Amino acid sequence: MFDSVFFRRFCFPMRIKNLMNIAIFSGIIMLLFISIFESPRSFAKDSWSAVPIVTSVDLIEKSDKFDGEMVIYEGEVIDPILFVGNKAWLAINDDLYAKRPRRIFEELKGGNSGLTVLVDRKYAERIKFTGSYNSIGDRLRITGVFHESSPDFGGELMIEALSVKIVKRGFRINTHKFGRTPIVFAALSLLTFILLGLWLSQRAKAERTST
Amino acid sequence: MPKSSDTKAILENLGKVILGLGAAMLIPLFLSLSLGEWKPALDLGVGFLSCVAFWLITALTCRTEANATWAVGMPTVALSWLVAMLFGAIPLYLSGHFGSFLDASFDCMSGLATTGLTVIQDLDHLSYGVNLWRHMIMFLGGQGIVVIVLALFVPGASWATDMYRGEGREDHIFPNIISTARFIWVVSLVYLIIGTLILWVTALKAGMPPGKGLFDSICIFMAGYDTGGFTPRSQGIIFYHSVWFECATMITMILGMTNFGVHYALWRGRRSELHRNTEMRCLAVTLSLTVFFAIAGLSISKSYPTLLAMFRRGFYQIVSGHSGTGFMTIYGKQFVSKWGPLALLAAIIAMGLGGASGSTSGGIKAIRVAISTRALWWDAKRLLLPPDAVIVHKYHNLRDIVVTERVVRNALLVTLCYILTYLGGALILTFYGYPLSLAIFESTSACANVGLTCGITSHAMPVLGKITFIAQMWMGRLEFISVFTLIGYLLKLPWRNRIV
Repeated sequence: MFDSVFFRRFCFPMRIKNLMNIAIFSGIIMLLFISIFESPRSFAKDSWSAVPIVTSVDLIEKSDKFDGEMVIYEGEVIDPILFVGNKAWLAINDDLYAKRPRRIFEELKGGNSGLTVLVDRKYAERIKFTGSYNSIGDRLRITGVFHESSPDFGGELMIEALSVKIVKRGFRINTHKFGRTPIVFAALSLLTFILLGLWLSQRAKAERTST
Repeated sequence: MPKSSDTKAILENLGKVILGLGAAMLIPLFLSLSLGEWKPALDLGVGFLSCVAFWLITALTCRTEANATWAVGMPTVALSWLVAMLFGAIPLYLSGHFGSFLDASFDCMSGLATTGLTVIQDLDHLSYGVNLWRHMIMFLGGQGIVVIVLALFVPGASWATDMYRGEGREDHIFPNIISTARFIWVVSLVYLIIGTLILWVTALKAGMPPGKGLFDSICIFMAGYDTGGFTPRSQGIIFYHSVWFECATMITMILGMTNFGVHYALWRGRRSELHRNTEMRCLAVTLSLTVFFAIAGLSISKSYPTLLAMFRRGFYQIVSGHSGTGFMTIYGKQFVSKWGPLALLAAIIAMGLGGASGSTSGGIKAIRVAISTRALWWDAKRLLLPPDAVIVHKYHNLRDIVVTERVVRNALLVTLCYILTYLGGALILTFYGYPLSLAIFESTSACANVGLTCGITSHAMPVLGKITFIAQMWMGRLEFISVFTLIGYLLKLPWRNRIV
């Protein structure tokens, strides 16, 4: 059947043609998909690679300079995340504790500094750890548009994130480091106990003399 | 000259105040235990035991049966606040979030004086127990820690009136000061419950998880109602991104800056007091003027893109400054980078003027502003009248009160003390190279017990700057008089006379 003139003349070329048509069609669809879903990201990615990581101090102090600009901001996400509809507010600290947590390195390096970032809910849902007393939050790299005073949010200084990357996962901290406090506690307990005994005996003596 | 029994009475009462402070530490201690925060629980336990030990020492060594004289009240208050600062700072220092004991004492005095300036480091990793303690210090200080201890431990103390005035309160709701103090505490606790619930609902609407939202609401109500200004998060009120939450805190601040006598009148259904009260009228005028100038300044410097944004940021900061609270919906450095000179000046004036007397806000206070400005007008008017004309001037605060020359002199003296202290603190900061406008801003914020900051207050500020601010917060909260009495008392002590 395959050797038939009819097949060779008509069917095979038609099949090839169909296959080629399908391939071309698929290619166009794929290109369309790529252009719709991937191209802004990859395009922006190329332009972002030239954007340096900025700090919250820079953004606050030189807010005029960065207003409306694309920025890359990195820091530790702080507890809790505020979910509002399909968006979420993150407080992201980029202070020294974001790199060297105080609870691990036991060094005081200053106050907290950070910014608030508005992200899509899907990004916030990927966060596992948020910075608090007993955990170090995930370290995020935010790429987004900086607003010196966003008209949509009552003039708030913030970053509207376009993409969020988890640079480093957070973790729970061992909170059972007591240092010398138990010794001080024990010594004070003993002192208080002795003083209480003396006070009670003085009080009893005073009551006896008064009666 | 003070008798030795007076000194003993001061120390005995001091011991009771510190015991009261220690008892208050049990609340955050139990919170820590319930959350499994063992180290903070131990820190608070050390603080509690230190307070109990101090009380026992004073009870053993300073027991006196003799009646104390009038000289006891004011020095007790002034000294109690200093010693309470040291004991309250113990759990803070042990938490490991302060570079030195001075830093912990700074935050404790800031809390007690309801200022809100802070030098804490890594606040966002602080335990719930110690964070609650920071806010409780504010509630205790704002409600008058000495008065509450008196109300609990020393019923009917004859010199209670002096102590009451010594804590910067002047409102006499009931003839008995202890009854007044008890009433203030009952009403404050009712407000605490209602206010917390309202804040909690708005926090939930803003996306806060229920448990953390409740914790934050309790802390923020305590800080707002007592015109304190601490917040559980390093980003302050910005953290919540909610206009409703901002409105709720603004109502809390306005409640806090209102004379407690007016609260009482409103509770009794006397709504007319709200517009008849001289102080409330003065507050309405000064608040409107400072808001107007702030908005004008912001529009000149084109700080915000829309009028709504300008009003939302400007109004909030001015209400916060005027009430002496110090909550912020902008970053501290934005005062420098975004607020022009006019808006900054409006904020300084709002902070310097302060809220109502008989409230927990600091600053010159509205009643003194009203009396001082009216006295100028009355003096000018007197020139046009016959020399033998008898004129009686009055102001209204729950009832009509005749203004005597003594009242005017006192108002002007205290106003002068505040202005000199604002400038004195600024002078010290300028020695360290801070710009004058920012130094005045920060110094006024400290002395008027506000807590707004343009970024000068931090762990890195000079030691002398920290000590100056502690002194300013202490003197500003106690309105100078009890501090002067303590100094006078120390100068007149028998040992001092012997040495001289």
